[in-house]
Amino acid sequence: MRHLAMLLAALIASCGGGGPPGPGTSVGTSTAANAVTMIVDGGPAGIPFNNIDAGFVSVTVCAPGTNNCQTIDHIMVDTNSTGLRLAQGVLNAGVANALTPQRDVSASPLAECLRFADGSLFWGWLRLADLKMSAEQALSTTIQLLGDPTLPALPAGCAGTLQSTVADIGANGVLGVGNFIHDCGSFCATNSANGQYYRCPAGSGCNSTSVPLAQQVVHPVSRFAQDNNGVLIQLPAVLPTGAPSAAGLLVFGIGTQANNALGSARVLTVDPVFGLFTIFNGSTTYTNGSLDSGSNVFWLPSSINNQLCPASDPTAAGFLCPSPAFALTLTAAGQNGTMASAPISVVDPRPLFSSGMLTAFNNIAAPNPDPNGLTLGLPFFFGRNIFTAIEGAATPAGSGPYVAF
Amino acid sequence: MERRGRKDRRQGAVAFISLALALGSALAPTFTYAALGREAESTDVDQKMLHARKGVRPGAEFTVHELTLPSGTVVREFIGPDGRVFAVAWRGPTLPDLKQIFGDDNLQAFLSTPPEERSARKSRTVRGQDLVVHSTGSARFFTGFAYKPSLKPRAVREEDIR
Repeated sequence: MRHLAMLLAALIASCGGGGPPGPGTSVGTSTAANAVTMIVDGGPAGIPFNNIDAGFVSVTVCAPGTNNCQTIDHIMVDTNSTGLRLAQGVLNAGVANALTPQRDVSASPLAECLRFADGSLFWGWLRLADLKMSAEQALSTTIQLLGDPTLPALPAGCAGTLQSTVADIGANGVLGVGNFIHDCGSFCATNSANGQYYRCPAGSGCNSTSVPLAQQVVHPVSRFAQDNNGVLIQLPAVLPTGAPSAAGLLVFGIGTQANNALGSARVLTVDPVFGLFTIFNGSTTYTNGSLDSGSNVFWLPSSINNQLCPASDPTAAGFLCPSPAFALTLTAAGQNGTMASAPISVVDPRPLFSSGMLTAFNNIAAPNPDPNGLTLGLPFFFGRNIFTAIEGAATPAGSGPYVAF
Repeated sequence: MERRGRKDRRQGAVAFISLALALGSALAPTFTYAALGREAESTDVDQKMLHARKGVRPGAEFTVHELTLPSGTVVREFIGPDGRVFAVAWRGPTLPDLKQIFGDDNLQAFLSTPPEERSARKSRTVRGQDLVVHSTGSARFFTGFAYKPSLKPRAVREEDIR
């Protein structure tokens, strides 16, 4: 999540949120025991903008070992982060207060400061919850609860713009289902000055601390009893003119059931530290390539296009407005040498955004300030089966971490 | 002229530290943030506060103080002929503490200046009169740079700051 890129400049257009219930194409509904409906729409009701190209699922959150549960809709699916994070106030107090606090060895509650590249941050408690999606259950799973009224002030080393509310985030929460099991990993387990995890003794603020892997925010799918080696995202194709909404599936497991077979997908291993792979555009190489359902655009470096939309256009500022529109036949290459063709198209988004009624597009882009970076965001997911395999998890095509499409 | 100014500032800093040592910790130097826009010595503060290993790479146009953080993230602090840090750049699996490497004033400017490009959480580009920042990344990969146009030697191009 560090990862979820909502291009906010473009989102301020419409009011109401909730996403128009228009026709939108669909690849089916989630009757399977290992799949939930994933909808691309404007986002939760009541936010002051419509999301574009953000995919959402519902998650049922329960106090551990109880039937004290609440189902939260419009949780954004993010293949470039790890774990569930819930926005301020989406859980009613009866459930929120029943989620077991994660504590350190001296019984001080643990909190997390998750800082993002744009200078914003999440600050919230680590809590244990039972998570339920379709027939799958992640029991006693560490999540992050943002904006709780009992949170201490932001501690040292946690400087930035705090984001806690549904309106801040554009979603009721974020479901990180990426390549990594833990959101920080061994660095935070062994290094107390990690600036990410904090212990908060009563009445004395918070200070940075190491947190064992078993207590870190964790990939919920890795906690399932089965179908726990990764996810498949299946979104329907949309026309180049966009769609009011689109409904697809978030399927759990890779090659574990009839509905999540790899089929003809190419398996591209990603590097185990950064989760990146290489993308070629003709003879140009981009070493920091990624696939990210939590990015709502293609992130393209200026060597591909640098035609920014006018800053004066409130709906399109921050996007690329290429003239003319262009298409690229990119080639993605895994660390294992496997290549996959990745054709994309990019258009001037202003006509697409003009009605304010469309939320699903397969052809919108924004500039990537990293000259070596190229991210295939949610626009790439329409009309494809895209697999994200968890590090160290066995699949029919070998162990993760990998992406496949 | 510039060189002399730099020497004067350094002498001032040394004098202040000596005074602080003489009078005890109550007057210890209180600057805990570096480094962008400040003297080269401030990279030592970043090294300490970030628990980093430091290497120095001299060059024709600038000297780079390279800090390797415990996470593996590398922060490079660029020092110009006037002895001041005119740029910082970073790359690695964790985002460095931007308040530490920017200083609080520059961080506030980064957060409050209307961005040229911004996407929630994923990236932000600010091109202000006295501060340029590109920051991008997510999950386990972050990269970016920041510089002070007023301090950047004219021969140094933006793409040299990596």
